[in-house]
Amino acid sequence: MSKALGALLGVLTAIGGFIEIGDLVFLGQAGAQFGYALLWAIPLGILGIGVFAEMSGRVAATSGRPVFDLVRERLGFGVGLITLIAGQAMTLLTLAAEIGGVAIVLQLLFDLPNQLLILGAGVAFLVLIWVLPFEWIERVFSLPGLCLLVFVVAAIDLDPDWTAVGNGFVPNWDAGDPMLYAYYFVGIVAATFMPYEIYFYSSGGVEEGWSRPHLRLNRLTVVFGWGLGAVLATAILITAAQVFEPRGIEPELLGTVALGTQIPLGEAGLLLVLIGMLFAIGGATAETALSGAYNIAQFLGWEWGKYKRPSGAPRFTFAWMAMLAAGTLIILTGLDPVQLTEFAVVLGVVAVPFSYLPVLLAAGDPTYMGDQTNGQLQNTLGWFYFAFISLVAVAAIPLLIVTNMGQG
Amino acid sequence: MARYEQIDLGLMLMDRQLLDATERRCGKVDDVEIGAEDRRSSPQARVDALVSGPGTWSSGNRGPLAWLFARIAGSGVVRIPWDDVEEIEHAAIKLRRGAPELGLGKGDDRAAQWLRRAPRS
Amino acid sequence: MKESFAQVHAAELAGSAATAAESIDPALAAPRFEDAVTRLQSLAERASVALRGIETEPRNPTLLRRTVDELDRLASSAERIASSP
Repeated sequence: MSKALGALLGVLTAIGGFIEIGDLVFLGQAGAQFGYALLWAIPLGILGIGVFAEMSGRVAATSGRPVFDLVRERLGFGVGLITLIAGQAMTLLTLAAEIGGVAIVLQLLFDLPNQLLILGAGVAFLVLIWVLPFEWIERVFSLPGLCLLVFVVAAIDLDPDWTAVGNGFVPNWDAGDPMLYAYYFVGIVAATFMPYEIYFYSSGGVEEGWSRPHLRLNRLTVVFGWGLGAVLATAILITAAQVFEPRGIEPELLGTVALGTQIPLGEAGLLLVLIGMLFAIGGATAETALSGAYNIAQFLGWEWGKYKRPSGAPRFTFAWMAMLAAGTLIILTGLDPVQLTEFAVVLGVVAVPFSYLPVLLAAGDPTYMGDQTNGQLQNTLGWFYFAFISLVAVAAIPLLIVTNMGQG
Repeated sequence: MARYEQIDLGLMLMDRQLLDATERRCGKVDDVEIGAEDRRSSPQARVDALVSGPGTWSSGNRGPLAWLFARIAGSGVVRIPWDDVEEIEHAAIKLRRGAPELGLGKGDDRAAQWLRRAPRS
Repeated sequence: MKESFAQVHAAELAGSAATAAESIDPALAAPRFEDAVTRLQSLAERASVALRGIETEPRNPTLLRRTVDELDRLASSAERIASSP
């Protein structure tokens, strides 16, 4: 495959794989409750995760070390273990929510019993992850996930007041309901800062044998892939603000979020958005299952990698299978995937600073990185975002409680 | 590997990935055995062996969670003599012999026996 | 797909409306709000019933038109209650 095609695929995969159930829920509800006012949270969050992702990709390409390998080395076994357990718990809850989300979308498409679809999804993912090589796992889900770009078409078709949209990108504050506003701000940032995305991204770099020649690809993927992912996230919020806010609708169900494109674009819009949701959430399912396995294998020093045959990395294989099984069982208990997502997203951000710091320290360490050590800008942004995400992490749980998970 | 080179143990050895002679990942450095040798000019510490395995996790200042984790994972400990260390690299510590010879990676070997029964394993 | 979506989503919304109706208890409201809360509870119950109609007969155009009108009326009533002093 030519380098250009490989890069294009990488960027498209990043865009299509960017959205998962947490983004859909928080962006939809933020638009419905506050109109365009929370748009500024999107670029703020995405720049942060972009900085984190670029550093972790650069560290993986330069030193061959993915995130959890660094976590143990930089934080030590004791603190590293706490980070592992917290990270695993949140990754597992996220995985359960994603499987639930896949089942909901399948139910909306085919009207089959929900429990059957959850079980079927669990088995299907087990087979797909077993059989497909790493790059194909990404492509099979992320490329059809690009159907979510229908939100961009819908947002434009709804002809919003673009001045008001622009004002939404200027940091502002809602004095009317500050706690709820803060909760959705944290939710949007947390949904863009999902730790499993970085675990998966950096491990993927090692899976794909990234080295110095891939540093440019790393930057390209982050800037264009996640940058354009930000455009998609913005479109989801604008659509929700246009369709739901004037009608006083709170999109608590995935089906309601999907109707955001049906109203301007009809049945075609609805079909495209459901296909996009199915594959985007499906991709997140595969990523979270593999992330859980990457983390434990990298922390404990087991052989790992999808580039090996299952029996070539046996405990790693059992680990992702166990994650899938556990996630399927959790959602089979009848928990609402949307509520579970909110819970997992907001709690997940608490674990982020502990995963972020080792990467930041490694990326700034010349003995590791040589001439690829963080420059002044990268260091400044890196430490700014570490402080920012730590503040968000501290605020997350109190806001979750005070706002009763956004119910007010 | 020269025995008496000064090595910053904290940064270079502890919690590092171990790679066997076939580049297979086979555990982490969980502890380091240090001996002492009297030299004419001054006594020097030397690394006698690397130690890997859950049996080390409950010792040292690793906290109660590590202790609990060790209870679940078992008490296995493998001692890797310093002479078996080929090279210390940034990403990992390379060993001279294969994991089975050194007694490492047994968990993966046992797990592989189960997986080989499945198709396309 | 349209039919399947309508049935499944209507069923989910009907469930949400029924849960809302159950969780609203006029007896727990302050006396000056009791009447409003009673009416809201009734609106939620009627919304649930209307949505169940879509779930059972998604292909009936007459029923669908009636349901749209009914849900519009219920939404307007709820807005009036919410904005009343």
